[in-house]
Amino acid sequence: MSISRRRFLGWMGAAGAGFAAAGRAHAGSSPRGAANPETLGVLFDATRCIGCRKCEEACNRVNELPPPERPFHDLGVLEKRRRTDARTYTVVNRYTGIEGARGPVYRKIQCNHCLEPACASACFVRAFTKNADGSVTYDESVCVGCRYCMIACPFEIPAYEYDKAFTPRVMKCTFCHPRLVQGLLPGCVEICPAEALTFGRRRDLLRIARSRMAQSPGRYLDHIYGEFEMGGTTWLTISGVPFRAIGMREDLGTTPAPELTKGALGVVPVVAAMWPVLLTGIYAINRRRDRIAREEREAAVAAALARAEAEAKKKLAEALAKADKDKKAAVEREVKKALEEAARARTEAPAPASPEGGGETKSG
Amino acid sequence: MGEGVHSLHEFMLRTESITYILIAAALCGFVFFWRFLSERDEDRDYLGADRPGGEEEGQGGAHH
Amino acid sequence: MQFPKVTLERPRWTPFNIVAAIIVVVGLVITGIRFTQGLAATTRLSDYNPWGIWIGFDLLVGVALAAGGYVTSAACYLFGLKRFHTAVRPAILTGFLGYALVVLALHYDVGRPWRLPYPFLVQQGTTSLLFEVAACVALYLTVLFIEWTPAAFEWLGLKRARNLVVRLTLVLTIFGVVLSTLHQSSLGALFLIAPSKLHPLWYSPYLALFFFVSSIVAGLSMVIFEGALAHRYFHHKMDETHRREADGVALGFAKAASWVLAGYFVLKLVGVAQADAWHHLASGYGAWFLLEVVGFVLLPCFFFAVGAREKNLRIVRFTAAWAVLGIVINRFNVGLIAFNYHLPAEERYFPHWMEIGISLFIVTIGILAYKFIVRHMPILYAHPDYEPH
Repeated sequence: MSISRRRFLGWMGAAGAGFAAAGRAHAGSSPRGAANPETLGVLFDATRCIGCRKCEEACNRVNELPPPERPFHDLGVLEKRRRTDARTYTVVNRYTGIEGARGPVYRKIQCNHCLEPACASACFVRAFTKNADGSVTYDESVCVGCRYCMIACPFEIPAYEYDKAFTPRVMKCTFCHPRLVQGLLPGCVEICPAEALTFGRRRDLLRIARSRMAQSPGRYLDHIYGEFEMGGTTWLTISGVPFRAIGMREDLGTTPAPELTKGALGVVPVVAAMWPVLLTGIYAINRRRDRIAREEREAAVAAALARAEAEAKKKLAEALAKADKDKKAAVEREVKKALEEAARARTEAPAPASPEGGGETKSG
Repeated sequence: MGEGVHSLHEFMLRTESITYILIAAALCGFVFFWRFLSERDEDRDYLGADRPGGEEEGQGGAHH
Repeated sequence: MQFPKVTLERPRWTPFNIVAAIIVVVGLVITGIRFTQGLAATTRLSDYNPWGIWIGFDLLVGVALAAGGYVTSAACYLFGLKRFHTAVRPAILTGFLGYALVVLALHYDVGRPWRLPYPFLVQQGTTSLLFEVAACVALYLTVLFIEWTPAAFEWLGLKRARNLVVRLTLVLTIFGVVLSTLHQSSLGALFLIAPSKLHPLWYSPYLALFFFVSSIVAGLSMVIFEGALAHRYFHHKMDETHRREADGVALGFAKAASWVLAGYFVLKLVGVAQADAWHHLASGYGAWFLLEVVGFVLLPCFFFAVGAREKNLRIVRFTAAWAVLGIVINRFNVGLIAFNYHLPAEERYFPHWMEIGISLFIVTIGILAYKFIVRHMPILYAHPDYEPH
């Protein structure tokens, strides 16, 4: 063999590189993770948050949400675990008794403005838009109210106005998109007295988060929540305690939402294209088989009839022949008899001759 | 707003929309193509010109 | 042309009629509350639990149990099983009523029901599996309606219209099977987007396949089950052919259901294997999963087989009801019970009595409509003017 093992392996390597290049080209046309580099975001630092609820108050004010049941300076509400709802775009929860933490840890919850929003992927009227600034906003003018976005959201953010009979809306944080357009900061970021919220380009925020980790060893876990979760979010969280301990799921994985449904959506055109072909094919095959069976049946019947007819004809001919013979014999016999009688009469006395004919045996 | 496709979601919105249009066209196309394909068949049954269930009972024996 | 007279007999106060009347009245009252005071007044839906039994039962179960239409018409017209011909019309009718009621139920569930055509007319969210479900359900409801019209046309004496539609049988059947395949499977695929919320024993990349295959079982079992009920209550409405073929339909469908269930059982195991969720079987959810898969898939599979082998209609009919219940349990598991399994008990969903009231109301309307149509139109018998069709 002239091909050396080394050369063969070299080819394999080149083929591998070829595949890899093809993979990259593919990634280019189907932009997985090719998020807008200018995407804005917010970094939430759980080690800095003091649970003052000022962000909740500012959010309520700038978004003109209904007044809360208990005032924002009432920190008693922190006793209970809360979530976003139809009147609240953001909440801060307090987590106590966490191993390794010196005091309570606070965590702010709001829409994470995913790079690949599950809500937008799930919405069948495209009510959600991923804007160029990174915000995910909702258009109530087309919303049917199926609430599939709420099923889809892995962070359990969208809420619904169940108490409205005629104009219920999905309610969720807008990243203060209207304010961003005017060059203003999001309400919560602007007011935060503890600098727990940092606004900026997402790629800068990732760098800031890393540098904080580097500057204060031991203060943070080596994980930026939202960098890869569900394909990445624009709002990022860093913490000194496990994320699970402050109510953040660590089992979400890194698959972006559209990727989860891609396979099922891909089957749709396959079924639509091939089912008619297969089913019509099965129908046509069955029909043809039926027709052939019918034709064979008809042919068999015809053959049987022909055979029966031929046999009948043969029998008839035989019968005719036999009858003919009988008739002849009878005639001969009668003639003979007549002749004998005539001869006898001649010898004795003259008598009338009456030959009896053989009956007409010929019949149809 | 953003130029170009920046997310898988946008990409899929485009591909899926085109796919749905294709499907609709294909399904209609199939009907006409099957007619074209079967029009000259001897028994001239294409696209349910008769009710398939009936023929068995209808052919009550062979008559010439 | 002479239109038939609908004689509205004075309602007799049989126990069924009394119960039905009560349900309808209560349902109408709840309907009033729902559409004047909103979902909060009539449901226990929450921000964590946006879908309740109006989706879990009325949509997921309703669509699955209405699968008899496509299963039967495919068997008869496409696969050439002509001995099942008399089963087609009843199956189409129940399918049509089932889908109509699913759409009716959706009007209760969605926030702004008058916008239900929006996904088609205003803005198309084509990346959503719900878009696909909505499009297919809307189209298939139309197909079923057209497939059902010959019975109405025969009743009304509209011969030409009837013959026109009958000529479309093949196209409609194929179209119906395509649409059913798509949306039955996509109902399962709806949950693919929420891997973190559905218990790993139920979440699977094969969810779409599970829903499609089990819808065939649901369709076959419902035809047997409804056939048994029709025999009991509408025997006088059936013609000779229908009565002669009915047992063959039940036995044939039982055999088919048993065989499909066998495949479905294997698929469910493959789902667990692919998710490597074996260790979950030892938990409470695991026991519940085993009950579903063994008690409501494997056992019906076996008893259908016994019934078909022994030609025992009692076993077949009993098992049909059992298998239908299994489908109900499966849809409840995926949509409600194993969904949000991670939430603490106080955040979990349990239906408000008014939600149950509306679900009962809708089922009752279905039964009443079925009774009316079977009484007046040629469903269980062939119309004398059109024999043999």
